[in-house]
Amino acid sequence: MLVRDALVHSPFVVSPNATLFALVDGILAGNQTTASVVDGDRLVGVVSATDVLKQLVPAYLAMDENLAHVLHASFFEEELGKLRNVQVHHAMVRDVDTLPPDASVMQAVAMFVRRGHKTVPIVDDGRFVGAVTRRSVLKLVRGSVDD
Amino acid sequence: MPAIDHATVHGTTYWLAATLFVVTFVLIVSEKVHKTKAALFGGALTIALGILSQEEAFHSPHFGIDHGVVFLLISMMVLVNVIGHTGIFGWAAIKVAKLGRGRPLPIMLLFCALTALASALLDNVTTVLLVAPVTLLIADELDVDPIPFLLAEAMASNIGGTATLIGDPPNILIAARARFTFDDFLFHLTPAVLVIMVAFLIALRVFFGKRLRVDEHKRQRVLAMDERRMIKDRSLAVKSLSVLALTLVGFTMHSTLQLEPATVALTGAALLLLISRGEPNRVLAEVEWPTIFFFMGLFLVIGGIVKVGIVRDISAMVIQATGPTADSMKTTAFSLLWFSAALSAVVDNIPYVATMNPLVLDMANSVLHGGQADPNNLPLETLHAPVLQPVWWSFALGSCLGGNATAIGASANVVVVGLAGRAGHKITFGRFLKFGVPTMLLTLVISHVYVLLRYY
Repeated sequence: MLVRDALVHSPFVVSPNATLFALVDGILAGNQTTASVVDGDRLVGVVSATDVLKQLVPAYLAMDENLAHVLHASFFEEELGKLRNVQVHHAMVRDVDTLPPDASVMQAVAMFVRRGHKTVPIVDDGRFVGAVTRRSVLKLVRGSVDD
Repeated sequence: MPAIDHATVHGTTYWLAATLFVVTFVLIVSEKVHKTKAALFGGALTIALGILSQEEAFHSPHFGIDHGVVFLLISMMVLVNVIGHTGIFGWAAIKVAKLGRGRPLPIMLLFCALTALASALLDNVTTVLLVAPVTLLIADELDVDPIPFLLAEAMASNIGGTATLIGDPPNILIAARARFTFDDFLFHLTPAVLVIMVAFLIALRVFFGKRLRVDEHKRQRVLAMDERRMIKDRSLAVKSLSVLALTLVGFTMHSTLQLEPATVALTGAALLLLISRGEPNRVLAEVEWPTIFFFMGLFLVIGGIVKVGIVRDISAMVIQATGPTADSMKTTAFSLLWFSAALSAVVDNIPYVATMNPLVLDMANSVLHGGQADPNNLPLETLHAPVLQPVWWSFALGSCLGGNATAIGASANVVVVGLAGRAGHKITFGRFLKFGVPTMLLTLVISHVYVLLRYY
């Protein structure tokens, strides 16, 4: 089985210049929480719901998460408001693991399990061609195994 | 003690040890190679090339690894790791911020006092690692620049660490070689540090007094914080504070009990591991092993240059330059104060102190025993001779306080600059210098006057 057989029908794609609010709307509208960031036909990164949340968490909470207990009640709303005009390229992860379309599905599965990825973008000769998700792989595997 | 092989002095072994020391020191200072790798490799070569015998390297108290220092450091790191996980420090910091009524200047001064106190009892790096996140939070809530707070805390940590035997690694090293007790440090250095700390807080007040203003509703955010929510494990907090208190009592009584500081610390650390829940793996994994191995390698390299007589030769030059006599070592003491500070501002003060320790011992032997005694085994009355005391204390003050001058002068500074950067507040080398050099000069002038008034 190859990853090209497990491609998502309509991959979740955003432009690097889209706002984080537009990304959040996309996450809420579909069933994928990780988007491939594509400029033209080039993959430039991936961005997930966690990356959006990371923008809301001040560095000191990463140093001592217990401090979240003493922040004032409206802190989260105020921080969220600051994201209004922030663009996707500020939050995205640029160093992305990708696979070519003729890679084995097992390689994608290994990335999901060992590296915790939820989506693996598929790139052919530098060109973004789609993505596989845990769901799309399971769907392919389930379709080929009898009850 | 194994006899020094005089046949090899100024022979191959002498120059081999000298080269090994210089190369190791340059590698450590240049940071081209991780300092632990450099020190360990230098240490291993010291044995492999026969500069030190294996017996001397592993079992000699004079040339080899000082296991007392190693166990003191490991034990204190274990105690600190457990305490750090209880949330007690965050609780204290929020409590103190509320005590300052949510006003920035009192908070800055109180945080500095808390940091200095904690640094005197724990290690400086851990203290700033604990106080910096709370500082960033408070500054965020008050909407003020956190950088002055963080800089002041790094400096308070270096000042506070100077006060006690366990506060700063140079003091641990000096205590080990000069056989000073915990109480000796309380008696000789703590008063100086108290004066320095008061002057430092006054300087902060003068400098920042008018600049730090916030409006009422931001102040109220701090006052509304519930510090009790910072405690992660109440039972462990009580246990670890009790063990820390017992350990500190043990430190103050260690000479009466005829126990080394390392024994006291090890007992405290082992007791806390025993009575705390959970596996020891996590706590032991968080011990700063690179620092521990750095010390081990360093002891061997320095042991090598002591054994072959390099230290004795340099000591002769120092004696010629500063003219210490059996009646007064005033010039030596003050030269050491300022020289140590200048050097500690730019290089790691641990290898510096480890190198200078045997030099002071050799000088004491030359001046007080005509060079006839064994410098590595001087009697206590020589080590603690009234004429030598100001030399030791000037050495400690200079080495610890010099680190305040630059962003790389002390580990606490490096950590604070790193944490600030992670939080999006870049502290440039220049900005650190502007704050650090005046602080170093202030604390050094006070130290100079203190030594002058107290010992001369």
